[in-house]
Amino acid sequence: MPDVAIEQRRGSIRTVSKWLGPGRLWLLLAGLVIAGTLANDVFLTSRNLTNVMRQSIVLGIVAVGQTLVVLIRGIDISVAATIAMANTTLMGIVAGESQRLPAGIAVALAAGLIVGLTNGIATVAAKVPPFIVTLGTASIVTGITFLYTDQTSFGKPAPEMNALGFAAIGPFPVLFFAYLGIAIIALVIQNRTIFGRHLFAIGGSESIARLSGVPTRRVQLIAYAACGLLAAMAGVAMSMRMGAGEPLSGVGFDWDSVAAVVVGGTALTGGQGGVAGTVLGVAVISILNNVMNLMAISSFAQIVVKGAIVVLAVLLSALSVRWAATSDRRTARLRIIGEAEAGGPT
Amino acid sequence: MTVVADPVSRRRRRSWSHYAPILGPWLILVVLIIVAAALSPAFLDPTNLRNILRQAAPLAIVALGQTLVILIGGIDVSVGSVISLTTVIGGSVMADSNARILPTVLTVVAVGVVVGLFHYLLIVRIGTDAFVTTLGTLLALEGLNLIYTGGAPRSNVTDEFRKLAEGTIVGVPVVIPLVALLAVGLGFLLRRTSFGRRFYAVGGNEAAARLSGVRSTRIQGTAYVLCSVLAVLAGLVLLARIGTGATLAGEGLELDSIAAVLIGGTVFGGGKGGVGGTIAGVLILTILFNIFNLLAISRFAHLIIKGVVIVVGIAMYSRRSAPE
Repeated sequence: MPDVAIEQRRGSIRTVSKWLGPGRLWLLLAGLVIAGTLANDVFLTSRNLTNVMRQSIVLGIVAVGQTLVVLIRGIDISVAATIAMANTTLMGIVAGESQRLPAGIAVALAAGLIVGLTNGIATVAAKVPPFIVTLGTASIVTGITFLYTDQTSFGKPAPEMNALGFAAIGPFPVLFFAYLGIAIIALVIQNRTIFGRHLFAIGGSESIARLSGVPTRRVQLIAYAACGLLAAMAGVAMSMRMGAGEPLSGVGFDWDSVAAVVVGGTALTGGQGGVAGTVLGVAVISILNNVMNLMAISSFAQIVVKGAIVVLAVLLSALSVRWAATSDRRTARLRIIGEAEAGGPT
Repeated sequence: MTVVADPVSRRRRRSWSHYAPILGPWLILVVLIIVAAALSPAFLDPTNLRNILRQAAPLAIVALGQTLVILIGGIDVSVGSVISLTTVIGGSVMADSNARILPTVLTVVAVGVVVGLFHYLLIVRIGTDAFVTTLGTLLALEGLNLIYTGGAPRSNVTDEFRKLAEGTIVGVPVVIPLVALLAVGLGFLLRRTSFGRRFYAVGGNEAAARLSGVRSTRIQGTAYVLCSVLAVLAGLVLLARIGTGATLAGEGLELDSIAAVLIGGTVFGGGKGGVGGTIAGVLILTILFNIFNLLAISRFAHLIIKGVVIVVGIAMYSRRSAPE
């Protein structure tokens, strides 16, 4: 039967892309690296690549959390506010004292978890659209952060923090391994646990998932909580390289993380894509930013490029849905032909 | 005339849940005015009331456009950038000459139409996600704005033009009849014409509307283009009020306009709501900001209260209109 062969091939492609991300993103990434190398001599030096990795850590950690939420057809735009809150809380509590570091990190992460849980509860229990809920919590969290810091630089890092933030093993920044570790844990949860399957089931169709016995409310709540927690972790990671807490340090990470997720091939309609694509999306955005910086493109033009990337990403995402529909029709047609050759449907 | 009348809504017609989204915002507004008057004697001062209406005008105009887009099941977060861009283009094209007011207006309206058509092409024709697409436009226009101005304000606005916001007719600011005219016109269009009813049909169930012969892409396109053009008008009113085209003039209006529409009872996802509620939503938000100012509440606490109002306000309707 021809359709069995097609289904098998598609199945194995799916298994590979589940862990490594879609092939077209690898192509895009390779193209970018080649273009970057040709455009600028500095690009392919190990020092610059270390920089690229450094710059991708914070965005990467938030984007992994954002992926979980987008997979269930949600969105979390409060992550930027949460990053700044974690950053200022940590710096404020630590205030230069090493022994307060564990307490500072614990409180910062707990604050992120609370924001995430609030988002989850409001979305699940009160059935408010996630965009509005997280818009509201973003406003609340930013207000609290401004009140706490009086909108000025705030607190001081412990010496260990900056030591860790600037530490590197060969060309690899230590925190980059932390990001990769988080991404791998998220990948395993996504691909190898029931919770991961539930994420896709809810994103595909919440009502069908519920009717099939998926505890939709609990899964959604956990996804939002995890996103808040990861945003706080990103804020903590960011603090490792800063000299003080900044109430505006999170600005832009809301849209950037959504952009990374969309560039990574996760559909905003939920149920498709995953963490692997997001990691590649983060790499694409980080490399692009780096090349533009190396070529001394003005920060104003970079904003335009960022907007263009977002639009291109949704365009590709919409077109790929269309292509998938066409190829499904083709498979169906082949099946009908196969059945006709075998003497009609059995 | 009611395209979307179905047996369920007819049965519920007299119940509170049917009227809540329509009357709710106005009731909240009345309560808010009473509370404001009680909290601060300065609130009912005619100068203060005039100020509130003046401040509300740009937000009201954008929110009217946003209502159309949300009604058809979309969203447009690019309006903030469109407004900022309008103020800087307006501020430089006008070049201190009254003769150039009309060309200025035509230029910025053309910009609005182009942005709206771009959204139509991507969101409606190709089927991209509305939120992220308009987010892309938001970023792209902000970047273009910065490149165009280098971040410096443009203030070549004539005094005649500024009368649009500063002038009064028999003691009423000129912008008020303008906004009222726009709101009543759009309200009439939506409620009383078959063209307007199609917005509800498309927002309620796009496939059903299409199968009933409504050219849904045309309705959706109209909504996006009108939204961008109304954002441009809001930008012109804002420019007249502040007298300076600034890169960040419209910042925040995208979120405020969405908040006003949703507080006004128009449902996220489309098909229900209308212009009247949006005007109430705009006044609720503006009065809230005004009370904060009068009471000298910290600007940071504004953010917290605004967030709570948005989430709680929307949650109230969402529970009522939720299925099950």
